[in-house]
Amino acid sequence: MSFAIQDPGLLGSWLVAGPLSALRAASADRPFRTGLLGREVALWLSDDGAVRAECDGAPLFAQGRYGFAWVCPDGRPARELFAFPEFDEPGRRIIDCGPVGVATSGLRVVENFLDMAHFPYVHAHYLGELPHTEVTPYKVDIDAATDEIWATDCRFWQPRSSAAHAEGSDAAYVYRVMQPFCAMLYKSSSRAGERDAIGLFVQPVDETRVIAHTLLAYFDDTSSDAELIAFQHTIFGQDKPILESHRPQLLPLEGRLETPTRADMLSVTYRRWLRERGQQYGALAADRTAALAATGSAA
Amino acid sequence: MTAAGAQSPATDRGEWFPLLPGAEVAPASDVVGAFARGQELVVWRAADGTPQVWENRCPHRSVRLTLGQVVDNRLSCAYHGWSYAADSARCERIPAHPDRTPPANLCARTFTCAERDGTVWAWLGADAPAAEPPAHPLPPGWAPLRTLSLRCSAAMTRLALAALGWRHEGGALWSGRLGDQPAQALLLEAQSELAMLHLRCGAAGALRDVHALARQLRADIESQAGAAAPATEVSS
Repeated sequence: MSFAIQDPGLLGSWLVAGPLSALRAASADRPFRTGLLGREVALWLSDDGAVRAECDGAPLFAQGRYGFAWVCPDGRPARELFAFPEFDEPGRRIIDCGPVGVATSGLRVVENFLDMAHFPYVHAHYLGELPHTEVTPYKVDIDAATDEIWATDCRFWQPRSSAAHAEGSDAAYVYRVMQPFCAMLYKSSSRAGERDAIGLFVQPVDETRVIAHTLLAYFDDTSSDAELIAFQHTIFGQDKPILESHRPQLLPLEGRLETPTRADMLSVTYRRWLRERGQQYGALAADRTAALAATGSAA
Repeated sequence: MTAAGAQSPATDRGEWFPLLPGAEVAPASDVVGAFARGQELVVWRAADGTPQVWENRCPHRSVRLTLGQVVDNRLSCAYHGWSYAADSARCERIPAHPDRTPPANLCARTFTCAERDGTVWAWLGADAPAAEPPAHPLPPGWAPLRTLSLRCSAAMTRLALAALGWRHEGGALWSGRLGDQPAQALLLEAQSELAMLHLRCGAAGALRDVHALARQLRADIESQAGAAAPATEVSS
């Protein structure tokens, strides 16, 4: 295989490489080309509808799931792609909100997705509002069977929780990290008693540039697709300037360069989980983290 | 004049850097970005006007503090509202936990700074400065004109200024002319390939002409530096 992957955090993993809708117009002669791990990948659908992927003419393990093309860059898939049962659940609307390019590490994008404390500041009047800033204690567990991170009992007061919410509500969240670059959240739906699901699948173009794919699996009886996508774009548009202002862009996994607080328990778990897998891609090496903490020099 | 040498970064930061004209930072309001020798900085003022020069990085998640705002004499980060007090830089508020007092050692990184003759200066060295920033008083009736950003090193800027007939007056100060108008410039080494010139001059006859001459000075310096330096790709 043409990706010389040494990073234990990426070995055997599935990485998103674009929406299947982009492959429908492609062919072996005119493939859909995109960036992944600093290389160019070519993708198309074979006659039987299977995803084909190549890098520098060498075939890659690939599959189409959940509306996206996934590739295993080292050719040795260690496990099946994560489960996403809501994708096939009757009654849910599946909406791809489109790709958004972000100039930062994919690990920063995922960590931001897992964060409630920024809602009243970055998403004021939508996902939070002053003075409702408190993050109450929540639970974080690692599922032994799947090695996924789950955060439960998360609650946050939201003035406009989704496109279908006209007024404020105390929203309940469940977060889930399936892979270093893939996470989901489940939150109170506008349909009583149900939970909407949002998937964030981050495509690492290189260590500090990503394409973020957001997929909704929603119960929403009132909003149009365009309204749901516009809402998500508004939220992501608010996150983007923050995400692109991290210095360093790479995520430190250890050391004291960054200081968490109790509300950051999910972030702390995510970083430890990445560290324990030996994740290097998108992470700040320990020696550089220590040097930055000591001198404060520009990265 | 300080020679540009190959000292290690740990030892060669012991000098005063003229960051910006003090008038550009209004007390308890403005949050301004600056660079000195590659170090990214945030500059703001306490309610009593005391300048604050900090590392441009929130210690929580390393987001630039220049996105933030001044609230109640504290610099508040745009990401999570963590708020750092003027002077001490101590984090006094973590809004996610409104009833808890942040740990006493949780601080933004500060740099020694001073305001002299209308300029905010920063000292990046680990040791305290031996002296105040150099005195470069504005001649009577003069005022800051504008700051030029130059896509070249400070060393190249010095060579170009000398070649264009400007005179080094010691410290960061240079004197010369914009057309027939006497002018001064304070030179800042912002990054390895980014220099700043804080221009000052007397009451200008035609301001538009002076600004055109300032732009011409930038073009002349960059052109001199480009001719002297090996050809490099200029990224847009």
